[in-house]
Amino acid sequence: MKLQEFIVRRLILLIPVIMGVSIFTFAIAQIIPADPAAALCGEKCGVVGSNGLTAYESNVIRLGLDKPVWQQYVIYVTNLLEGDWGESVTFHRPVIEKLRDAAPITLEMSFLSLAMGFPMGITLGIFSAVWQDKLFDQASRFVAIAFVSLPIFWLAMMFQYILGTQVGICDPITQALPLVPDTEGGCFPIYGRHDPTYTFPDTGTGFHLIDSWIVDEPTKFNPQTNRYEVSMSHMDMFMDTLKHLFLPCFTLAVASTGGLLRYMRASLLEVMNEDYVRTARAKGISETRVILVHAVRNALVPIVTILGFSIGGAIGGAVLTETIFAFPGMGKTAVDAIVYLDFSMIMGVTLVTAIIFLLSNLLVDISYAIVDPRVRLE
Amino acid sequence: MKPRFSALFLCTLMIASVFAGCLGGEDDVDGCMDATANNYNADATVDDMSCTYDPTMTSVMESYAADTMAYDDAWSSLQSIRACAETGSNNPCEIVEMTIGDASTFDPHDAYDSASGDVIENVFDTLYRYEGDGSGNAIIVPRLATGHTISDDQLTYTFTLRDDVYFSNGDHMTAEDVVYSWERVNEMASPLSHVSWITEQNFNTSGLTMIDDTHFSVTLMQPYAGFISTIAYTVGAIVNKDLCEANRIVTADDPATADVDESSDDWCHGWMDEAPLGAGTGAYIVDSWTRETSIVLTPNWMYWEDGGFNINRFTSQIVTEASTRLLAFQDGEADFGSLNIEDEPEFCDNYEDGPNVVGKEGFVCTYRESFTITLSAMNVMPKALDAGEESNNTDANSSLVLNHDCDMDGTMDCNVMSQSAVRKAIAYAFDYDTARRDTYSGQLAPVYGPIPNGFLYDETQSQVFSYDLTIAEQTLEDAGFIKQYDCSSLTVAGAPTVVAEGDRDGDECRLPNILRIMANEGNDYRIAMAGQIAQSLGSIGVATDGDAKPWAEYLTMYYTSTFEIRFSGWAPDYLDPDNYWTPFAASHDAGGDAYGTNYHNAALDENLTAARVSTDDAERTQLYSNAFALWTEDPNMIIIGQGNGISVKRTDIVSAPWAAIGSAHWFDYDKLPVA
Repeated sequence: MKLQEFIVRRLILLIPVIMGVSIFTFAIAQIIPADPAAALCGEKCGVVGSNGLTAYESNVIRLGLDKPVWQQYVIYVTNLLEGDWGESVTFHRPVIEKLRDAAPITLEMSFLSLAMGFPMGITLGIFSAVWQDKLFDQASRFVAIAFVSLPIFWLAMMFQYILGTQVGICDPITQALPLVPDTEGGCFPIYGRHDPTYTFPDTGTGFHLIDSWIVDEPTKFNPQTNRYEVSMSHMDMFMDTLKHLFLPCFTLAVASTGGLLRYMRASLLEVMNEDYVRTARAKGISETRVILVHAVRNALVPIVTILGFSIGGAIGGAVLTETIFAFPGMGKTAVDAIVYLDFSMIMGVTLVTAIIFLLSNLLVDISYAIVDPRVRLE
Repeated sequence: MKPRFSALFLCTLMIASVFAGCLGGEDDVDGCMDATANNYNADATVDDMSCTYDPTMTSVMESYAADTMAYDDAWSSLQSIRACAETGSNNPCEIVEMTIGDASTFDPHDAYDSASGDVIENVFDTLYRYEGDGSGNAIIVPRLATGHTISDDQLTYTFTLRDDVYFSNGDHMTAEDVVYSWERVNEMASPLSHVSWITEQNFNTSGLTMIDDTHFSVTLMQPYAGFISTIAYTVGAIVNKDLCEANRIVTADDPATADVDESSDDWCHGWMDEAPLGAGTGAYIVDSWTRETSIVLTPNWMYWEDGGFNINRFTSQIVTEASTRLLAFQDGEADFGSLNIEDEPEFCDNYEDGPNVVGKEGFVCTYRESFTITLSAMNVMPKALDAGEESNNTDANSSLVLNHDCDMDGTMDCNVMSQSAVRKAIAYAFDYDTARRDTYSGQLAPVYGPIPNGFLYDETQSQVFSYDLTIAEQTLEDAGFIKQYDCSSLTVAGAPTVVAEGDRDGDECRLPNILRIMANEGNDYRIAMAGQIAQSLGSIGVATDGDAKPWAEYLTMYYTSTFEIRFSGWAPDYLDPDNYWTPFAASHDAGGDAYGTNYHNAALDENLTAARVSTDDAERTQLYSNAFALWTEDPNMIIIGQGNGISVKRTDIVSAPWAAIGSAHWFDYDKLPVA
């Protein structure tokens, strides 16, 4: 099967999966003992309008909750296909618009955390395997277990406190890197996506690391003149965005490093006992080349599988990190939507998450063929 | 000859001296002699009318009004005149606030949440608004209106408006904008928030009449003493008619599909949602609103109130996580941190002694009374779910729990909660002092009825209920609720097992069912209070049940009436006792019962309705006193306390006097420069 054919087939398969997800989440929403009409008007549901209806009754009609459940689902799916994903009662805006804003935030954070976590985990895993049962191995395994065991919110708050507010802690880092601290106290900002004295245009991609390079004329606000006139470079914007991303991504990366280290270590140890590794050694190839070229490449195959799940995991982990670091991404959106039983938004987040998960697994499957030529796309 | 000569000499001298000034021209200096002018000449002896002055706010606005200055020129001139120019390490021209939730909309006619109101009060103006009087009380002061008269029948209010008010896009505000704004509130009917009930209760569109540019009148449907306070709420804000009309989207009905109503009119809500330039006349404009991230306000240089801006930029950062807000406040990244109560002692000394609290170095801690009421509503007609019925049944057709014979005809025709003795007993079983002192760390002051202390007519209330389990038990006993039911047999709605009189050992229950006590997850105060009253009631033989519910489920139970006791709260919309009494204790038919207690006391309704329309102070006092007397005999709520908070700010912030209602007006704030 050709690669293109494989991709098309997998993409077509997404449709029934997404339909299944929509039915499942719709059913769950019906079972939950809570009423979105009441959630919308809160403690003032009882106030009576000029039409003689209470705020609650008006909401029931507006949300279509007075219709039979099957009709509600049909209307929902029809609208979904027409691009109308409904109106979020929590965020007071169209679901699709909110998701368009939130998805890039989470994806940017997730990808960057994977970009930090994977090299760390894989490198440490290789050294642990190579120096099996030595001090480094013991220590790294201990740290790995510790990081896996610690709650992610605790890690986030600790990093926020130590790296975000403590003067002098990271002076050596900031001196070595062009991350000039402009926050009070620490060297990394403790919240937000960028310095509040400038804004990104709405027309961008939503990925600030990309948008920082495509802004026409980057300027900062000058409070003395009340104008956006302090000129800044694209690099300034990029570095500021990176600096704001550092703590949440580092938190997610550290949390995932432990697991990766152990996977990589186990995988590499298994591969190191394979015949072809012994053959390579027998042929007199240097140990470094044996490990890097023959062993590590083969040990990476199962790690690729983890990569697919890690994207989903990173989105899951984003629920807490986004809340703590004030990133209005998918995770935080999901939490807010669930708390207020924002039915349209829950469905939207679930669908988008499902699509991201499915696409990332598709990518993983394709990656298999690249990493291991023996794998065929079937 | 001598005298004649002397007289002649003197006369000559006098005449010569008169002409001396004319002859001595070489010593005169022409120039500007006004010391306040830019070109003041201290040596000038003759004012040559050449004085020049820096433009002032008044001169610029006069030129703009006379059409001799363009909008852009006026805007930049006013900016140069009015902008804060202080420098310091603390960015003295900028305030950063960290807040918990995002605004829902900046459309003042569809906003009913405090986060939206905080922005709207700075971007829009009302005819009157709430301000602090410096002694902790809230007063209503004129803003866009200079005054009003009321007709003899108390129905028609005629307002006089300021003539010097401009929208931020330079449009002149007139009575036409005001009439349009109030028409818009009622016609648009706030589809998202239902806040329009506040104006709809008083007037309809036909009652609005424009007289001239600075005068208009509104005729109410019935007299209402609290009318001025209702229009001081943000729902009474004035919007720009011309801009709204230009951005209004009206969809006509399609004749081809006559059976489907496709007509719609958004009354420019889509445009107004983010309050673009020109929408309002307030001191600030919305510079940017990044949803769920931040809101930035910058000055409206055309703002009508005299004086310069101390704050050139106000940023509200939305940070839901309390620990992040705390760190940012400690770290100097925020001027206001929306701190949790448990974090406040870190910045204050003498915290436990609320009124005498003082700030630690660098901080100011202030004890403030609010008009927020913490309460527990008691449902007189609770329902239970029918078999197989889902609790999210929006038809609310669950069955009433009928477990008492109210008319003594031998059939169960009402609920025990309909008996005032049961509700009074519950009110006596609540430990008010512990809740105020321990649960709320002293940040809840005593209040004895629906009207908060410091509010109009608060003198009509006095303490009746206190924590006294003996009275609570005796009240039940006297009303015939004796210990007779096998507690283990009790359910929410099922028939209980009555223990034979001879077999009773004193451990039986008094009521035939379990009372459901509701609190919502995440609100530890309510959960603690629910636990306390459950324990107290248990000790006098009243069985209860209650887990903290997720917010959405909590609200559903409230609306479907499937509860007996529900912990809740109320923040006022406007400064009139009717905004407490009616939603708290008037029946649904009388426009009340916002808490879903299904309470109906005809005599109380009569007093509250009369108090609402009365404009006579003495009469209102009497009516509210009557209402309180009736209500304490037949309570439908436990009024737990009045929110008193400690506010924490940095010492460099100079704020306007505190008002217990309304939001901060940043034009009245200052931030002192720190070197």
